[in-house]
Amino acid sequence: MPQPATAIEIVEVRKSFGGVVAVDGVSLAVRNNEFLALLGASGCGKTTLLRLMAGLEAVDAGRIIIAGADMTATPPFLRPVNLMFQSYALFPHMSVAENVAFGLKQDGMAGAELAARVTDALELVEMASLAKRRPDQLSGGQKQRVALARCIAKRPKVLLLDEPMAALDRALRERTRLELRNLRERLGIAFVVVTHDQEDAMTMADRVAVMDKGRVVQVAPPRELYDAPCSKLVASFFGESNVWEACVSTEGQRVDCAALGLSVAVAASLPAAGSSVAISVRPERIEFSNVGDNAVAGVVEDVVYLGTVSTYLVRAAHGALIRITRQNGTHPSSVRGDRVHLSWPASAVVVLTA
Amino acid sequence: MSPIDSPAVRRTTVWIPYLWLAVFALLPLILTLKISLAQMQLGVPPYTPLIGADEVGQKTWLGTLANYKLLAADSLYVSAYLNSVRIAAVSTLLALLLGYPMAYAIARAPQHWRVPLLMLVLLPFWTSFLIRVYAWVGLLRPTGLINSALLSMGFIDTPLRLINTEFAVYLGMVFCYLPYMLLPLYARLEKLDASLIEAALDLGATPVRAFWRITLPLSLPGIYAGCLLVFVPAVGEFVIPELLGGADVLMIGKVLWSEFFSNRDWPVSSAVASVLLVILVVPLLALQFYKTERAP
Repeated sequence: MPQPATAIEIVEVRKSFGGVVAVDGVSLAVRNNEFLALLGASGCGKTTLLRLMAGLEAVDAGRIIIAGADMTATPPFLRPVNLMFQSYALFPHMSVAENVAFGLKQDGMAGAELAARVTDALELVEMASLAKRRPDQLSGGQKQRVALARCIAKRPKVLLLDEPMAALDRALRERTRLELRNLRERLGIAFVVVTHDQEDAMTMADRVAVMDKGRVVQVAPPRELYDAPCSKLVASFFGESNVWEACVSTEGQRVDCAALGLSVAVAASLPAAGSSVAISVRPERIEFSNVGDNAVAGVVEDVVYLGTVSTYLVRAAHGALIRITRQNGTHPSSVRGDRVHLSWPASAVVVLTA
Repeated sequence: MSPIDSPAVRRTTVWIPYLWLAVFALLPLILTLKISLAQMQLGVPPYTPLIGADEVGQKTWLGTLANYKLLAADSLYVSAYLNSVRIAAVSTLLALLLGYPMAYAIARAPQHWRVPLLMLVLLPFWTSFLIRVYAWVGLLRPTGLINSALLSMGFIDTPLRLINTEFAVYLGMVFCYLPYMLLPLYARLEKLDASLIEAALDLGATPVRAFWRITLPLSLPGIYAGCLLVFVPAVGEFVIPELLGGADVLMIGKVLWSEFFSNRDWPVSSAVASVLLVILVVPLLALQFYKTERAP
């Protein structure tokens, strides 16, 4: 039998809880060996979607196909996927090794084979030395590793992770992101991670599915989402952005923006003249200069120093607040109250029609 | 520092429970032990002093272990103790088997249903214990509601012997003590993190396996607490065996009652009570030991 191309395929899945729609007709395919992030604000349905994949919730409508087999009605204990819970859900009355062995024992594994698989999984997350500890004797980061080992010991077709970073401090988060990516490459299975943190999604995922109000708004690699968001929501959720309302001008390749008091030159293709759109310009694409495709004058209202970069908030003459990010040291730094000129190229302007 | 936080106030507050225990638990216990070492006599008080003057006027120890020897020698007392422990143990087991599924069902019920369901369990407690037990007499006796109904429907020709049996005692015990079993179990099961069960399912355990490997082990403290709360009062229970068990069911509570009120033998009844206390302290100490063993 040929290997199916997708690890999980979700077809028109709906789920509501007591009349509140959590997942509203989502179709999504997770490719083999892919690291997919489900990104969205809390309440957007991303965790419900993950639980539907694991079989912990039943779909109201639609189909879930895992590794080529329709598993819409399959109970969780028969699905070849494993979920790492946000709370880790380690069994408090079992040691680390017993926690990892639990899933394997359910498959009838015992003896030397079981011991070897448990050790393998614990070594993979560098927790073999703490195998005899109980969960309440572990730090948050260690618990996370045990939870991870418990899932991967089962060698699932897909590993589902629910907010894996939520309980970790900043330094540990960054390390864990890289480790999860390396782990996925070593295991060669698909990972689906739910997160509300765009940085998590951007640094780990091959593709990101942005969710809003129970729907998948856009699925694309991080760079594409960043450079070419399809909606205001994606633009504002995925990284910082300046978003303004505008109206397509009768002159070619221009939009009129009242907030900037400017006819903005645009490189991207535009809808018919007169239609209202939004434009998005990333803060790092704007320069302190008065030459360029688009230039405005303004006054620096605030400066936020962030180490390698600084963020400047500039009030344009017509009222718009423009956010600019500049590398420190490359530009004589402006201070609050300075009158400045800003410019950005036509290619930096992303046109959002939704 | 406000006066309420002052060290003097705090010291006093800490001592209040100890004072309470000393006056209302330790002192009566010492008095009971003291009387159990004395002999019966006619008069006030109805027992001999422990220290008295001998012929030459020297103070001397008059205490005796004769009452305890009597308890050990007379098979009536021994079998009453054994019977009490057996009946209490079976009642506790029955209450557990009935209470666990109920507690589980209530803990897993939708949030807004839990309190009403618990109230239903506790509702009988708003009636006097004695009246509740007596109500069973009305139901179980030969001319009672159950027998009359069965007779009139033609299922039986002669009344069933329901009252004055061990069955009736078990019925009464489980009925009266079920809430003591149910509440600690409920408290434990309600706190149980549902994601642990989900994790077990996700790792390949069937719902039945998940119950045996996760839910049951994690509810053990509730099981111990519930069993103790039922077993301890059940061993010394007097009203239920008296009203529902009749003469055939011998329990130590009844023996104690008759020694004290019928025979007016304070020393022997004190000895009976002291031995009962030892029997009850053993499971308590066992639980304490278990808890310290398990603590990390």
